[in-house]
Amino acid sequence: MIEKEIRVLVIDDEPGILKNLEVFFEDEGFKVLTALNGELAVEILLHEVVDVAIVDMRLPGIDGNEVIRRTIAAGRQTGFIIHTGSNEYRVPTDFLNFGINRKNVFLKPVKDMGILTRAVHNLIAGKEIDAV
Amino acid sequence: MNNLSVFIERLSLKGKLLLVTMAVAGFAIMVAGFAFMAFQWRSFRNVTVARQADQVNLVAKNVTASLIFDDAVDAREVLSSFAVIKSITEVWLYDEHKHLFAGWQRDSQEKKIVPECPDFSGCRFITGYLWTVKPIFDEAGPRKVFLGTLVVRSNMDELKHYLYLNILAVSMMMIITLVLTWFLSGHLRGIILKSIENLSATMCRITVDRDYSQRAQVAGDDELALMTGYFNKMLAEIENRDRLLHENVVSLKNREKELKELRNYLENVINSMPSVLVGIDPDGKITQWNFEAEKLSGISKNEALGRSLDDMLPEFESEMADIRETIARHQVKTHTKTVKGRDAEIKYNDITIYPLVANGVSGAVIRVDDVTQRVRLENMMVQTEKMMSVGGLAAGMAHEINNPLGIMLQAAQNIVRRLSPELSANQRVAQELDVRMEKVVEYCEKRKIMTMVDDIAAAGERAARIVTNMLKFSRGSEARFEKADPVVLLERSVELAANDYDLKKKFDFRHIEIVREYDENLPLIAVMATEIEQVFLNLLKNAAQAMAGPETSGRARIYLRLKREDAFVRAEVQDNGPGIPAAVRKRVFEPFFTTKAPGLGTGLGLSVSYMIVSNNHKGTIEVDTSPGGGARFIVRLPISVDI
Repeated sequence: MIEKEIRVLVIDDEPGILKNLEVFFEDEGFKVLTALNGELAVEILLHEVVDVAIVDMRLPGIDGNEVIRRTIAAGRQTGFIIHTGSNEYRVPTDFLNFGINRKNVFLKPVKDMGILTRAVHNLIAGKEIDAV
Repeated sequence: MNNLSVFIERLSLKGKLLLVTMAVAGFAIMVAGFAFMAFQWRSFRNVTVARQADQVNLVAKNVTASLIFDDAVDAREVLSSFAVIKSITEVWLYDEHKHLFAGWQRDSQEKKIVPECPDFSGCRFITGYLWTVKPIFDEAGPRKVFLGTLVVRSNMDELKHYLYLNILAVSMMMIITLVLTWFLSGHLRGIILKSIENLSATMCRITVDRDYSQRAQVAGDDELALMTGYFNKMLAEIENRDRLLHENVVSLKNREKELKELRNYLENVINSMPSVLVGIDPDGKITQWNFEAEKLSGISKNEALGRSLDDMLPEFESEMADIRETIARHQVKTHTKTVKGRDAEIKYNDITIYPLVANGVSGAVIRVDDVTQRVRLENMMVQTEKMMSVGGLAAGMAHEINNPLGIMLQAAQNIVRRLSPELSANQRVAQELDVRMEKVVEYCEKRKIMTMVDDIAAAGERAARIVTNMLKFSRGSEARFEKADPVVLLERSVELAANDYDLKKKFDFRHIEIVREYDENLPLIAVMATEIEQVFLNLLKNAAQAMAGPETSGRARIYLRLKREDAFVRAEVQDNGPGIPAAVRKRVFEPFFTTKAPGLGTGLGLSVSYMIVSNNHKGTIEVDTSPGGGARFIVRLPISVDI
């Protein structure tokens, strides 16, 4: 039985990060989409099938939170991994109802991206992710 | 006369009134009585006289014949008819020659000498008798012929009797009147005196009770009522004045009490001041000496008062010139003076001289504060400030640095993976390029490329760790404070240290002897447990590392002490290592200051500990050299109050 292809979207305004995550997830066998800003990310999320989005918070234009909010508002079933450089980041309370909590947050720098891979698999399997 | 007026004066008003009423009534009745009696007397006498005259006239007619016929027997017969009138005692009839012709005498009367024929005619009262003399004429002839004289004498008994009756009646009347007057005046007295007595009773009550709120009852509309009204008004005035006076007295007493309280209060305030307060007069004599002054000098207030300041506090001798100048110029003067304390340590004293000029009090108050602690705190605050700025900087930097660090680390991970022969994609691309993946790996190893990539990753990780530590400076109190047992916290830190991988590599914590000196019944402290554990762990690690060197002789030993100190729990971590040189000791809490070899320490451990303790927990952390020569860190954490 052929497993269904996993489709992830990486959103980050830092091309270096974007490139590395893209490369890593490709090597993991995922179908990887990328977006350098929030507007583009929302465009993709609303029109493409995306299983999991890895979202940077500080973005030019609309920020990561807003991307997630709009996606949820559109009724999409995408899972979210929050990938941020700010250790002061707090998960907005309205996200908690959609199963997005502190365990979905990964602080930069994530030195082993294997953690993110596991998180993607867990999200797809509907399991709680085990953040480190 | 004098005695009488004195007597009258001494009489009560009641007596006076009675006396006057009675005297007036008595006098009036007496006068009236006498007038009446006089009138009665007169009319009665007239009646008597008239009656006697009638009788005499009648008898005179009857005896006329006897005289004419010279019949003395008949005449006596006629004369005896006077017996009917009781008062008539004697009747004499004289002839025309004034010789006794006939006579009649009442039997009861002793025989009297026959008087001479009186010369007058008519009625006359002579020597207690009424004489009626009637000349008798023969008027039958043409000429009036004098025949003789009829003399009737009556005693006054009836008259007297009548008079007595009258006197009796008048006296009775007088008595009755006086009695009536007595009663009436009693009644009148009652009416008049009632008001007066009422007034007097009220006065008496007021005098006895000293209660000026009482009022005399006003009855009627007379002068007494008016007087009572005025009296009441006066009472009201007195009462009002009394009340005002009372209020004044009360307020005066209150003020006195307040003054006393204020004085005590001020005394207490002055004594509870943590400063030495010494008051002096312009001559430098002590007028005020508080507890702190007693404590500093060991001289009691009673001993110090009135003495000269430089005798009591010789160290102030040099200040005397300043004090005099301050008093003269009325200017406050402050300066800090360093003095040697008991243990030869330097202490800082702030000396402030306040001139007193108000209300004619002159002199000065000298305040001495031991500001050693403050000066030390200020130094520490400068240190904290320095660290806070590092923290602020770190927060800004962290985000910017984390992205490139992420790229570095993730790129390194990708490089390693894309050089791995196990990844099928690698093999495919290698085949396309006609290269064998194994050769590529071999090449990289030979050229130490893999090591370099590892170095990049390690360096990135280290940088990431530094950034994480630095971020702790800027972190607010996001974590919850909780009550924690200091023993549990310290023990958990010891356990963490024993299992610390880095520590195990170089020196086994289990070889270190841990000496615990914990007080019993330690209070709970309000802490963020993970942070404090981190602090203790840091101190334990430092101690272990310090004792790992060759300088440590004998068995490595860490002393852990916990005891209560005022509102804090004092935790000590002391080692028996080489100790910390003074120059280093001053800088151990500075960020990025480290004595370890490059790469071994970040130089942030103690400064992070410092921030955690002093900034996040409002405690203190300090280091000194223990008497044994090792380093001793002292952490003070506030006792949990109400969390």
